[in-house]
Amino acid sequence: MPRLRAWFSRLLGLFPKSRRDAEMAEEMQAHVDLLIERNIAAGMSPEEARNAALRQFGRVEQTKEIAREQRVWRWADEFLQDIRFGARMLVRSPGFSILAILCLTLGIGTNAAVFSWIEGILDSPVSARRASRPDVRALNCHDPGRSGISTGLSYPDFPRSRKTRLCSSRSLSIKFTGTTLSIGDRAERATGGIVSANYFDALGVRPILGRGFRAGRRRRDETRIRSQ
Amino acid sequence: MAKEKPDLVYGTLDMLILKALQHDPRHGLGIADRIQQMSKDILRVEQGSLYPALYRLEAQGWITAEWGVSDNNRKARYYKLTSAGRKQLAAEKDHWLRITKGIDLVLAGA
Repeated sequence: MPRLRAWFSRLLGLFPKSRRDAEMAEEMQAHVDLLIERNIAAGMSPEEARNAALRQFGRVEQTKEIAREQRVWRWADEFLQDIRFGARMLVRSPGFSILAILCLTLGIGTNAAVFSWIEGILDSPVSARRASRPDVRALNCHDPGRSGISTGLSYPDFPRSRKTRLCSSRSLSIKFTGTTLSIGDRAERATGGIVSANYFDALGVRPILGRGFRAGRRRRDETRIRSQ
Repeated sequence: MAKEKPDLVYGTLDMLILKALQHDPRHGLGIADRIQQMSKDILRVEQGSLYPALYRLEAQGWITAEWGVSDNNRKARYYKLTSAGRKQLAAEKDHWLRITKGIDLVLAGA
């Protein structure tokens, strides 16, 4: 609780800065005045009393600076200063400001346009996926064997994790891999993926011809993957 | 009496300020006077260093401040211990006693 209060106090100390500073200066001045009075009462001349008081108090401005650090976050203070400074500079040279704003507008606008255009072209199959969002948690699923989140579940763990309901029926498992296909005397590198039987269902994609994978044949696949 | 080093042990000023405010509210100079008086002139607080400490303690919620009038009719900011400050004083005192006991044991060792 005191920590929270300290936080608030600093936050509040941030805004009425000039008022707080004035108060701080007033308080320290009062302190020095008291010292001067005391020194005069002890028989010093006003001049002497004043010098002695300032010596006793120490370096006023430095103290104020240190004290200020206690109540504001310096960076926040400086950040506000930077913003004010920036705004002043923009107002002072409007030609440069307009040019800068124009450049930024064009740059950001062009970027946004190009990226949304590319997204539309490259990512159009996504619309099928969006219609029925699959839960791809299987790739990043809680591993029941070990504590914590495991990224990349081993395939033998996948059916088990589904049984324990850590992943829903729409979770899918993908492992991207590559292999070399050789047909006759030609060999070619091919990229493929090992996926769980519910892959197409989870994606909400239906083959135009034939059928997708069937869950029933899982047992045999599993042994094959394990031996790899 | 030979003058002791005026420097306080690092980190003890906060505790001394809390202690000085234990019974009555005081202004900055009053706190410095009180510490000097309670320590029989052994400890002299460098008065400038008092204010950073006071603002720190205020920010922690251990002391509160309000403007008042000093004995000789001057405006001064008076600091008062809060209940959280009282708890903090007790905790710091315990800690200090434990540490000094340890140091004493080390220094007294053969």
